[in-house]
Amino acid sequence: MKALYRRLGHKGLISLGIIVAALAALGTLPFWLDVDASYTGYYLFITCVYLTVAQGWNLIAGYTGQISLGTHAFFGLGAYTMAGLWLNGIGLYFFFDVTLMVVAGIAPAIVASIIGLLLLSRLKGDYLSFGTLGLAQIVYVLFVKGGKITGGANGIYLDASYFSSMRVYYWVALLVAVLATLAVWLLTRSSFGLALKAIREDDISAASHGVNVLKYKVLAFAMSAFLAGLAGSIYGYYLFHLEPASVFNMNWLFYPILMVVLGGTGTIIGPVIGSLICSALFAYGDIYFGGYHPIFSGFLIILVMRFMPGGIMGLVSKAPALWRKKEGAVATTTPE
Amino acid sequence: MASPLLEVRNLSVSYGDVRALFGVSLTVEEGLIVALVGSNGAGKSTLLKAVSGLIYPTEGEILFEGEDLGRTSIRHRVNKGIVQVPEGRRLFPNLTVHENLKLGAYLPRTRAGYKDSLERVFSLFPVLRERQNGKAGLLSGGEQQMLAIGRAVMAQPRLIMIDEASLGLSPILTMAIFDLITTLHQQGTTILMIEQNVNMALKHCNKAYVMSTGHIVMSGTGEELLANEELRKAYLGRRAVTGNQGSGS
Repeated sequence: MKALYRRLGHKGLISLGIIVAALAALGTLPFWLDVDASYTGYYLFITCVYLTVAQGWNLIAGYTGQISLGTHAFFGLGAYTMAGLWLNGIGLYFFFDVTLMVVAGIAPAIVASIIGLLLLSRLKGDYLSFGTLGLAQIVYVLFVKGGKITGGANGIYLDASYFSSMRVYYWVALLVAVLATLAVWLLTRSSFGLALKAIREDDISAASHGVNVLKYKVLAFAMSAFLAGLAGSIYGYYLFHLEPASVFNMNWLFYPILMVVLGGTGTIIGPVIGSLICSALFAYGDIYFGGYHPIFSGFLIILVMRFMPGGIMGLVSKAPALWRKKEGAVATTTPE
Repeated sequence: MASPLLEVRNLSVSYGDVRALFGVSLTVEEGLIVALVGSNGAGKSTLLKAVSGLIYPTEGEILFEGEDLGRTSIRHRVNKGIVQVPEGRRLFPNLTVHENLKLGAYLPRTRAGYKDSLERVFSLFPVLRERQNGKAGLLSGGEQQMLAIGRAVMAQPRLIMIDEASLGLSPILTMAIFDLITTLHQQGTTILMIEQNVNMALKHCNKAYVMSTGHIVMSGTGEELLANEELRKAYLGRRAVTGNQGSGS
């Protein structure tokens, strides 16, 4: 305990305590709450799916500074990869098969590497945005027009008799979201993460210190695609019926972005807070405003961008300085 | 004179159709401070970029310790010990001072001696030790310049190329930075510096080249050039004669 205290300090120990307590509570939740009957079960499940995507986007955009707008393509590719492999009898158990899920992450990661090498080699950031958006459109149309291979606009059906309880979904999504967050956290604390942050700040300066900019950008992009694909495969298991309109939906692009930006871009805990808040808002929005709630999420993006570009974490880091009302000593709302 | 560490031979560089350098040649011997002076647009920064590998020459060659650098990567050159302190410092503003220094020693070759390099930087610039956990962007202009130089020192350079160290600094800070560059030189680092502050640069160097519109028009020791009437008229104006610092052209 003493050694731990020396390593982490006062603040670190409190944070660690909160994290352990929260994980213990979330992990055991299905034992004291009926996740099938309560909406909380679905809410936390979908939050975890979003969070996994959001941490991926956080890695490429928040830490590396490359705005990708193709997340929904990777999400859908992940879902379809899983479903395609399952239908063709590849894998061990088919239902929440770890190998299928990993492959569902690798497939979009390969696509991202190829497109990343093309778009990131010479062009500056904006082109990645347009390029990935274009890629998403291409992929979407390919799947709609894919005929028998992709099931066209009707998509493909999986055997829904596997569904037994929300519990499995809850645990798998939670575990993946926690692992994704942990992985991104560890990455950003490594020398690899330092290189990513340096690229975000000034890529030419990073290059002039020997950082292989293209390699790191592509790697970060591939990892973010991996997480999106992984999340897509979990959602695919939940849907049982995959159609382009649902898994390639732009929501899988905009919602994770909103969650990251609201929580705090380039921070590790920001996307967690952002996804918890946003999923709750969308759930209530759906109940009270029906089909109109995307309007509110759109407004939310605009308001957050305008008034709190550092997100909630930015406000948190600013709070002590505001409290002391120190002139000119207000911390900037910048990423960690 | 010592053996040449860097030798630039007949170097030409073009940006598209626009030629920036016309057959420039210079040598930097090991253990010297060499200054490259001249007005805006003379091609000084272009020359530095060509040496560090940010742009490739259209003609001529760059030799480092006798090896032709050709079209080798920036990474290769940093690994050989050619490190640049870029114009405008180009720090990573949202990263801490410590992280900035860590990035200076990013390559495997330099990571081994990381702790020693860090101590060396902190003893050169004690203020950086105090502020190591603060964001680089919150440092003052002078401190930022120190960090930029410190970051270059972290790379355990054989040759440091400093682009406009005095840019945007007050006269007092400019003097402080030049003193630090001198200290660095005394510790055994070879330095190639670009300056618009011709007076200060000539006073602090062993050897200098004067550039104009992509050509080297004059060269010699600092004292020789300071005494040169033509150069004084062109770059120093009256202020240098009265002993104040000239701000270049």
